[in-house]
Amino acid sequence: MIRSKFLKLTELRIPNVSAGVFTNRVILFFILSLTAIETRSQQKNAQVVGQCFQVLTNVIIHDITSPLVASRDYAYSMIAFYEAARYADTNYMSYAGQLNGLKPLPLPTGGLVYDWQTAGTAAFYKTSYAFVFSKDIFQKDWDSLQVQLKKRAVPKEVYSRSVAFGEQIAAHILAWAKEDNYIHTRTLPRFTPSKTPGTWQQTAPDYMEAIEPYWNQIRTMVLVKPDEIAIPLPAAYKSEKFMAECKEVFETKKKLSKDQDWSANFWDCNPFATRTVGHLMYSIKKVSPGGHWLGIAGIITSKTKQPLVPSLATCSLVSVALFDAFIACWDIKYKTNYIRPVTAIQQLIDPGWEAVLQTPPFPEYPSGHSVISMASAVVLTNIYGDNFAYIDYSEKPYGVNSRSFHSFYDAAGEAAMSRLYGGIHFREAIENGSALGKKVGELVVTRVKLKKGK
Amino acid sequence: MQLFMRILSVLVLFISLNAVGQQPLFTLLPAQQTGIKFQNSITESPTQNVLAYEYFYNGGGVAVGDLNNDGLPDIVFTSNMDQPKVYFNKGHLSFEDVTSKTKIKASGWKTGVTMADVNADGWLDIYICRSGNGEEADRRNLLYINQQNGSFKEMGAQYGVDDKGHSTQAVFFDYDNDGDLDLFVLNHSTKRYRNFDVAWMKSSRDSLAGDKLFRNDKGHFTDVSAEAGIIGNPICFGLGVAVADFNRDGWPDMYVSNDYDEDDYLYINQHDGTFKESLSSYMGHTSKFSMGCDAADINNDAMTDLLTLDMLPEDNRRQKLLKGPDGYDYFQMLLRNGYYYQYMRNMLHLATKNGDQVSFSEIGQMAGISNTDWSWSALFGDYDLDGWQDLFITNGYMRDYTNLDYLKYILPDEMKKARAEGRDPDLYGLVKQMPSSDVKNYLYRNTGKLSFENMSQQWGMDLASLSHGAAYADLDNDGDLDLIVNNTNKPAFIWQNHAEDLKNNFLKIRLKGSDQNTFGVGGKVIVSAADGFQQLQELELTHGFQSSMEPCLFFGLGKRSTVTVQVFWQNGKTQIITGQGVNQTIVLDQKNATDDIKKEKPAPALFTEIITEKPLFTHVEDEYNDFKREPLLPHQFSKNGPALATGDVNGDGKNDFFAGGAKGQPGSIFINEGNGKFTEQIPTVFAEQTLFEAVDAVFADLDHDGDLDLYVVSGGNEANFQDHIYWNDGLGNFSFKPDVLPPTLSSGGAVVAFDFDGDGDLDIFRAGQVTTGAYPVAPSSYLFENDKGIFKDVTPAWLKNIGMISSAAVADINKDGVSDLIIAGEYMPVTILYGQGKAPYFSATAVKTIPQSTGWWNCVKIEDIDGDGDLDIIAGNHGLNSQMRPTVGQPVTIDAADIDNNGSMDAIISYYIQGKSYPMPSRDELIDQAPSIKIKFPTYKAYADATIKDIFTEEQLKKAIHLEAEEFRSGIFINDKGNFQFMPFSNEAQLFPVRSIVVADYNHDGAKDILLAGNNYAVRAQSGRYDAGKGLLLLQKKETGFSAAVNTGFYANKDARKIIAIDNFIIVGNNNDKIQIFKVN
Repeated sequence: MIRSKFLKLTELRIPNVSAGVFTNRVILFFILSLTAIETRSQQKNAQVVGQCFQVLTNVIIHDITSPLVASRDYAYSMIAFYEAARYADTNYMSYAGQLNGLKPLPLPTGGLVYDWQTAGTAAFYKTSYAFVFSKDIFQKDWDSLQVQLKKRAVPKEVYSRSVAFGEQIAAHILAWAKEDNYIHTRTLPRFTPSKTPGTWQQTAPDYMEAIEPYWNQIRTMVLVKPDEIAIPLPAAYKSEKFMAECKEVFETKKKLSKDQDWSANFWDCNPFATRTVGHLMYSIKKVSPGGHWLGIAGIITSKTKQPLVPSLATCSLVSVALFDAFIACWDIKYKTNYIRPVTAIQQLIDPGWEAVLQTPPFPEYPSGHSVISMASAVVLTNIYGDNFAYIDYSEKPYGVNSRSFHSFYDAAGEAAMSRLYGGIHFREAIENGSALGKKVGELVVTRVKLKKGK
Repeated sequence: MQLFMRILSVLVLFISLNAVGQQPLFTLLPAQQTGIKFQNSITESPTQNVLAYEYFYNGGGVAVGDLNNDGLPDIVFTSNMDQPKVYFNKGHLSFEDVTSKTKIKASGWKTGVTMADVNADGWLDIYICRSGNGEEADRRNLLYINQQNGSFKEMGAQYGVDDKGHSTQAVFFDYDNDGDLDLFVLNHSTKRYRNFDVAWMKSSRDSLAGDKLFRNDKGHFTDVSAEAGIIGNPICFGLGVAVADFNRDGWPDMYVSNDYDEDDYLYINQHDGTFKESLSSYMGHTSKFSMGCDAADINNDAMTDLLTLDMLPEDNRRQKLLKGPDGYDYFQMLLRNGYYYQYMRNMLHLATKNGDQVSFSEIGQMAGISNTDWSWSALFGDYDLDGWQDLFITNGYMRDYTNLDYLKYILPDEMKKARAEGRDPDLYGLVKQMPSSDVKNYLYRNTGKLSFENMSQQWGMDLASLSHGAAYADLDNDGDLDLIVNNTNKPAFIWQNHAEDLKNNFLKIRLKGSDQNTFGVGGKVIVSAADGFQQLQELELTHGFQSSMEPCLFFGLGKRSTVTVQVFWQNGKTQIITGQGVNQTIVLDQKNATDDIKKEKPAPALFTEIITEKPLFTHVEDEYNDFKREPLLPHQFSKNGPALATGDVNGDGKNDFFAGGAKGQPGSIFINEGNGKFTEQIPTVFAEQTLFEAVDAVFADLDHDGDLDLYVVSGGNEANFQDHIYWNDGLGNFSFKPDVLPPTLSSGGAVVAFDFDGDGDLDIFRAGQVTTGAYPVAPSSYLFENDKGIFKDVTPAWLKNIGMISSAAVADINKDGVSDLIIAGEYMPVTILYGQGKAPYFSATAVKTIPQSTGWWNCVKIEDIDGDGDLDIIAGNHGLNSQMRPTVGQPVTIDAADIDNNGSMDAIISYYIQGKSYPMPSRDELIDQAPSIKIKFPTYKAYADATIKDIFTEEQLKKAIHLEAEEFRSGIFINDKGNFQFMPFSNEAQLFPVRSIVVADYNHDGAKDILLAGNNYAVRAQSGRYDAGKGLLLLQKKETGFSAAVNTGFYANKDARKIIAIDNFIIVGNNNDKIQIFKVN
C-alpha cells in the first residue's frame, strides 16, 4: 500500500527533468526520503483524526446531545478539518460547490509553508467549540490533546500561519452552518402527541417529549430536498400486516437468542438510557449511532493506514451521509408519526410487555439506525470495497465488547435488525429504512467527488 | 435604699421571669435527664443499602401510650436495623429502658409501630410492622400482647395479623362498627414499574405490596381486603394512613398516602363492611410522593381536614437541583391512563360543606406549609394551647438521590470511569458519596386565618437532623403536648413543652368504650364555648408517619375557663356536658351517652343549584396547548372562555343571555321563558363563525334602534382575533355585517360599551389580553367610536399598548358627569382613565394608577360597596394559594428579551423565595426555551443559585421588558375622596384566583354582599391546578365588615370564568364544562 502511494507521489512531484541520470537518481533519492518522511508522518497524522473525534464525542456524550444535533456537530467539524488539511494531498478537492450552499473557501497563500495537520486541527477545534455546550470540558480535553500534538516539531511561524488558516476555514464553515435553519428550529412549537390510534405516543420508562420534530427543515448537504427519496408508507394501524409485525416483535423477544440480545446491545447507541434501582435513578450514556459509524470509519482508516487527508476524506464523507440520512429519516418519521412496538403491543397483546432496549423518544418509521447505518455503509464500501472485513471495537469505551463483521453491508444489516431484536422497531421500518439509507448513500457518493481522477 | 434596691431587683427578676418569649416554647431534654438513649442507627453495607431496599432511609417510628397503666405515657421506638426500645415513664420526665423486661425482640427491618388494646383487656398492646428485603419470616408483622406485668407476648400468628407484606404502618379502628377493633395494614411495593397500563396494573393484586384490611371476628382477624374494596396492586407504595370520618356520616373513613405514581386513596366507608375509593369525588388533586399524613380540624369549623406531606424543598437551591422539565405531556398521559392530578408538594385539604356533602379545597400554599423538603411526620396539635391546632413536621434525607446532577452527570461519569478501568461501576460507593443533609424540622403556629407561621426558631426547634417517625404526648402531665422524635443516626429528641408558661387553658379527654373497643377509638368530641369557639377532634391513634399517639384528646382553649363538651360515639349515641371546667383530664364513658346523634340540619341555603337532565350549555375547549409554543408561560391564554352576557334580546321584558364558545363551538342565545326556564337558540351566523374563541361579550344597542345588539370579543392564543357585532332585528334574531369594526388584531380580554364621545350612541372599549407568541409584550387595546353603526378606531397611541388587560368596567367614578374607564390585568395596576367628554375623550394626563396595585388581576367591578355615596372598585386577583406571594418589597417580576437571538422572546418570571428573587423555570425548562443557555449552566448546580442577572447579560436586562406585580390578593379599593385604599379580602377569598364578581344584598340585611367564583385549571403541570375555589359569598355586616359565609349553596366548584345575574338566578360560566345555574332563595 505504502509503496504504491509512494510511487504515485513520486510521479506527481518529480517533473520531467532532463538532467543527468545520476542527478535524477540523487534527486529521486532525496525526494524519496522526503516523501518517505512525509508519508510516515502522514501515517502518524491519521491518528489525530481519531483523537480529535474522541474529544468531540466525549463532550457530546456528556451533554446528552441528541443523535441529530450530534450529527450536525460532527459533520461541520469534520468538513472543516478536511477543508483545512486537504492541501497535504493535492489529489483531494474541496466540498465547495458540491454541498448545498457551500461557497468556495479561503485559500492558503501560495508559496508559503503550512503544516496541514495544524491547520486541520485548528479548524476542527474552532468549529466544534462553537457547537458544544460544556465548553469547559471540551477545552480541558482539547488542551490535553494539544500537549500531545505539539510534540511534533513545527516551526513557530508555520504553526501560527497554519492555525490562522484553520480558523479562517472554521469561520467560513460556521457561517455556512448558520444558514442551515438550526437556529430557527429551536423556536418552533414543541411536539404534541396525537390522539389518533396508531400514532406515536410517549414511551416508557421516561416518557420523554418527542425530539426534533422539525429536523427536516435543516438544510441538507447533498439531497436536493429532505423528501427527495420516497419509501412506501408503513402498514395501516391494526391491519393484518400491522398485527403480524406486532406479533413478530413480541415473539422475537420471547425467543430471543443470546447473540440477538448481544447485537441489540451492541447497536443500542442510546445517548441516555436510564436505570432505576429503587428510588435511585441513574443513566448510562453511550455514543450516538452517528458517532458509532464515525468510530467505524476511524477504525477502517486506521486499519488501512490511511494518511491524514484520505482519513479525513473518509470520515467527513461519512459524516455528510449521516447528516443527510438523519434529515431524510426524520422527515418521514414525523410525517408518518407512527406508533412504537411497545405502545402497540401493550395495547393489543400484553399490557405488561417491555422492550429489551429503551425506546428512543421519537416516532417509529423508518428506523433511524437502519437509514444511517446503510448510508454510512454505502460510503465506506465505495471507498474501501465490499467484503471488507473488520473488527468493530469502537464501543469498548461504553462497556460493549468488540464484534467482527464481514463487510460494511453486513454491519449495517445487523444494525438494522438489532432494532427488532431490541423490540423498538417493526420489520418494515428496518427494511424500508435500509432502502432509504442505501439511496442516500448512493446520492452522496454520486454527487460528491473528493478525489481527482477516478 | 437597700430595701428599695432589693425590691427593685426582685421586680426585675420577676419581670424577666415572666417575659413570655424569652424561654422558647420547647426545650430539648438531654439524655442524662430523660434516660432515653435511643437512636435509629443505619449502617450501610454493600448488601444492605438503598439499592438493595429502596426504603432504606425511611427511618423508624414512635408509639406512645400508658403500657403499665400507671397513669403515665410510655414510649416505644422502632429501629430499622436494631432492636426496638421500650421506655417506661417514671414521672418528672425520667424514663427507664425496660426493653428486656418486656421481652420484646424483633429481627428484620422494623418500620411503623402502633398501640391498641387488641384483646380488650384494658391494657395497650403493641403492633410492630416489618419490611425490608430479607426473608418472609423476618418480615411478618408482630403483635405483642400486654401481659399486664410489664412483659409482652408475641402472638401475631395466633391473632392472624402477622401479615407478610412489606409493611409501613398499621392502624386499629372499628370500621364495621361492631364494637371491636379491626386492623388496616399499610404496605408498599419494592419494585418500581415504569410502564403503564393502569387498568391492568390497578386491578391486579399483590400480597406483598397491597394494603390489607383485617376484620376482627371475636378476637381472630380475617383478611377481607378484596371483598371490602381495598386496593392491593403491585404499585402501592403506602407511606401514610389517616383514619377519620371525612364525610361526617358517623362511620370512619381512611386516607392512604401513596408514594410515586399510584394515586392516594380516600376510602369512604359504605356502612356495609366495604369501602369505596372516592378520591376524585372529594379532592381536586393530591401530593405526588405522598408520605406521612394527618387529619385534624385546623380552622375550628368542626370538620376534619387533612394534610399530606411530600418532598418539595423550601429553598430555591434544593428546588433547582431536583426539578426537571415541566412534563406537561407526560402529566396528560398519566391522566389519560387513569391517574389523578398529583403534584409534588404538601397538600392541606380543607373540608368544606355543600348541603351535607363534604368536599375539600386544597390550601397548602396559602397556608404557608407546602414546602418543607423531604417530609415524613405531620402532627397537628395545639402546642401553644391557644385554641388553634398547630403543626409539627419532621423531615430529612440521608442521601440526596433526587439531585439531577447525579442522574445525568456524576453517576454516568463513574460508569465511564469504571469501564475505562475495566471494573464494575461502584454504584454503592457513589451512593455513599451523596451528601447526607440534616435539615431542620418545621414547627408551625396556626394563625387562625387558614395560615401557619413558621415558629421553628422562636419555639426552640431550630436543630438540624434526619427525623422520621414522631409523636406528641403529655409526658409530664402538665396539660401540654411534648414531642418525641425518632432520628436516624442521632439520638432521639425529647422536647419538653412549656406552654404552661403561656397561661393558656387545656382540657384532656379520654374515652372509655363499652365493648371490645376499650379506649373508645373512633369517638369524636366537639368542644365549644360561648364565644363561638368550637373544635372537633376524632380519637384515632395512628398519626403522622409510622407512629401512634396515646389514647387521649388534647384541647387547647386559650383563656376560656368554661366549655361545652359533646362526644359522638360510633354506636350513634351522644352525650353533652355543659359548664365543663378546664385544666383537667376527664374520662367520658360510652355508657353515659344515651341520646341519639341527630343529623345536623344545615342552615337554609341562600342558593340552590338548578340541576337539569341535560345541561343548558357546555363550553367545550379546543385542543390547543399554549405551552408548546411558549414553554415558559405561567398559564394558558387559550382557556379564557366562555363569554357570558345578559340582556333582553327579544324585548319581552325578561333578561336573556348569550354564552360564547371556544374555537370550534358556536355561541348560543338563551331566551328567558320565565321561572328559570331558558330556551336555546343558535343563530345561523354563530354556527358559521366558529373559528373564533369568545372570551367576553356585551349586549348594547349599538345601532341605536331600540334593541340590544351583541358585541363578542375574540380571544385565545392562536389566531383569529377579529371581534364581531351581531345586529338584533328587535325580535331576537341576529345577523352579521362585515366591515363595521376596524381590525382587532390582538387576542381580546374584555369589552365595555359606553358613550365616551357624548353623542348619544354607545361606543366601545375593547381590551387586549395577550400578544400571541410574545408574552408579556402588551397587546393592542382599542377605543372604537360609534359613527352610525360603523366604528372608527380612535385609540390614542398611549392607550394602545397600555397592558395585558383582563377586565374593564365603566362608571362615573369621579362624579363629574362623564363616564370613566377602569381597567386591570396582568402586571398592571388598577387603572382609572377619566373620561374627558370631548376628543380625544381620554388623556394620558388624566389617568390614575392606584399605587402599589400591580397584580395579576382577573376582574373588576365598580360598586358603592360601603354605601357612602361614592364608587369603590372590587377587584379579583390571582390570590395567595400559589408558590408566589408577592408583596410591595418582594414583587413577582418578569423579564423578557431574546436571549439567544433566535427570534423568539424568552420571558422569565422571578419571584421571592426566602427573601431573594429567583427565576421560576427549572434548568431543563430554561434550556428548552433557550438551548444556548446550556453553555452558561452546564450542570444543575451551576444554575441552582442563579438569579435573573445570571441569565440575562447586563445589556439584555437593560433592553428587556420588565414588569412587576406587587399584589396578588383580591379585595376592594375603597374610594376615599378619590384616593383608593386597598382592603384585601380575608383568606377564604385568597385561596383561589377570583375570575368574576357580582354584588347584591343576598341576605337582605341592607348591606351589599359580594359573590365570587374563579379557579384556573389551564396552568403548567408543575404549578398544579388552582381548583380550591368552590364559589364564595362574602357577607357584609355594617359593623364588622365582610366575612365568608359557609354552606350557602353557591357551589361554583369548577373552572369558573364569568358570573352573570338574571332575575333571581346566578349563572356561572365554566371553562370546558357545563354552565351552572343557581337560584337565589
